[in-house]
Amino acid sequence: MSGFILALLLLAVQPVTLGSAAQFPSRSRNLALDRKLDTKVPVFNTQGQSFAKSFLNLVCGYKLPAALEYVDKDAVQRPLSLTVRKAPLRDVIRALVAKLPEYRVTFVDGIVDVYSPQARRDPNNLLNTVIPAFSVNYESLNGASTELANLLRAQTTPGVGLIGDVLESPDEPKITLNLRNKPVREILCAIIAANGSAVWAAVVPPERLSDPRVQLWAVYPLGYSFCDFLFARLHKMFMVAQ
Amino acid sequence: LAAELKLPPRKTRAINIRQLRDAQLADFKKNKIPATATDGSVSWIRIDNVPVMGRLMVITRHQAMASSYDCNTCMCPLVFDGSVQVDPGNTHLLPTWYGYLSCFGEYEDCNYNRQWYQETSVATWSSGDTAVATVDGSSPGRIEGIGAGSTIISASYSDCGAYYPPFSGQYSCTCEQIKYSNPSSGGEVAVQKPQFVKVIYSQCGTHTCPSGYNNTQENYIPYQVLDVDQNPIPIAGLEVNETLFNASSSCPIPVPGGSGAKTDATGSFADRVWLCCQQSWSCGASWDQSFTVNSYPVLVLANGLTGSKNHIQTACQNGQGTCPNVYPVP
Repeated sequence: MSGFILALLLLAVQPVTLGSAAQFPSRSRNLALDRKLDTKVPVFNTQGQSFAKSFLNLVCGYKLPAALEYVDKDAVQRPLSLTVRKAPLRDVIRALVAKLPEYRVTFVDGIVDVYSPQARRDPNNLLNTVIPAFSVNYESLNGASTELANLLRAQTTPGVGLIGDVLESPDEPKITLNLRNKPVREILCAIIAANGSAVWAAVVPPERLSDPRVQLWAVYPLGYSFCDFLFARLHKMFMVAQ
Repeated sequence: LAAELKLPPRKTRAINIRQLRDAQLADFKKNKIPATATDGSVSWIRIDNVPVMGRLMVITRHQAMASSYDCNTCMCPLVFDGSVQVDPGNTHLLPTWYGYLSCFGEYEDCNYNRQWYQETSVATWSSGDTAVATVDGSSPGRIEGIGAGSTIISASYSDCGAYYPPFSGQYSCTCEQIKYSNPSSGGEVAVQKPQFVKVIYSQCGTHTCPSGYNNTQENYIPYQVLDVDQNPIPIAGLEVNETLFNASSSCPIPVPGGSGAKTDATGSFADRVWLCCQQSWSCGASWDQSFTVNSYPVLVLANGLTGSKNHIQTACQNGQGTCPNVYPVP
């Protein structure tokens, strides 16, 4: 009798669980990310590399969906000295971020998100622009990012056409998202979390995050060479013509 | 900080920073160091030679070094530290193709702020192997692929590494020491015979544009990567990137950024193209795109034509649209 009741309970619970998973597809990815963040790192050493380079090495090495919402010169150029031994990856990242006082990190919603609280409060920062409705259906990583860039451009620079030219891999994961009244940076994080294997980063210096004419961010699939592309791009941001 | 501290030479005294912080007076811009300030979170800005009324601050030093901050009073000149970087660090060329490298030198001011400055035009350029790639002295930084292989393109130059007088109150300084650059980093150039990307087919669909814009046709173009002998490459994971240029349109469009993708198991990738114009505009655009595979430039094959770039023309009108036309051009 008790076995029959248990079976009934299981039958009753199962559809709810499945429905819940379908509604929140990032939940399982959160668990996957948590498992990665619990990984014990024997030794981590920045070897005199900058914060951005060290962070991207971790992100690409451990395949962590990640965001760099804010990138200043210090983060890209200043050599860091940090050694962490026998610590979970999460603590290694925290220790790394703590080296730059204006930066913070969160590990929520399936993504490692590095940000500046000050930049998030800045009303001129276009990454804080609220997009009334963002919707993509079975879209690639580059496609979703391009759609978002077009929506932002339509909102901040009325009077321009919206052009899309997107390269994609036929077998890359596709994204379906419906978000309302979310800032650009949160939508980007949602895109990365839904993809599960990518990183987005601001690719302009902080003072240009308010410039609607420039490309504010870039998305890259995770992999060492794409991380190298991204770091080279960040490094170039702070080289100036004389 | 609003505090008076008088110490004999070589003496030390414990200071309650919290008390000092709470007692501080605002500076001339009415700023105070916030209670939540942490180590390194407050930036001090030095402004030299600004006309002021009244006296802002007096710093008195008695023998012991409190700070090296103001040891150099000659206009805080930038000094060259000898570091030279060639950018991009890695370049991939085809034989007869050319590209440009830049040279950056690192400088430091007397506040230890470091900055890279472009010195391309004053650098002396040289190639490690002119059978692979040459660098043009008359057009600084211009490199040309000659034959398959790899080599290092180097840049060097000199600038002032120290100024005189270092401790006087003068506002003009004379270069005291010319510093020659260390061997430059970066500048690796690899040359390879051309590979190809071939248009497999072109297919049109409808792209839904944001409210207020015409919906438009969207072109889907799968490509196959071919090796130097034009055989398909059945390897997954090649990195394809594109660069977009020469954009023109009857409706104002920004130049879109390029994007990247990895090829699938058959060595193919896809390009999707669309254009959303406002309803009051006559719609249409053209632009060129070029591709790299694993950073090497590749040639485009389509309809029996070969070109170094792809030309895309697209048009739309009243939401109907015309399917974009894609063809390679030299």
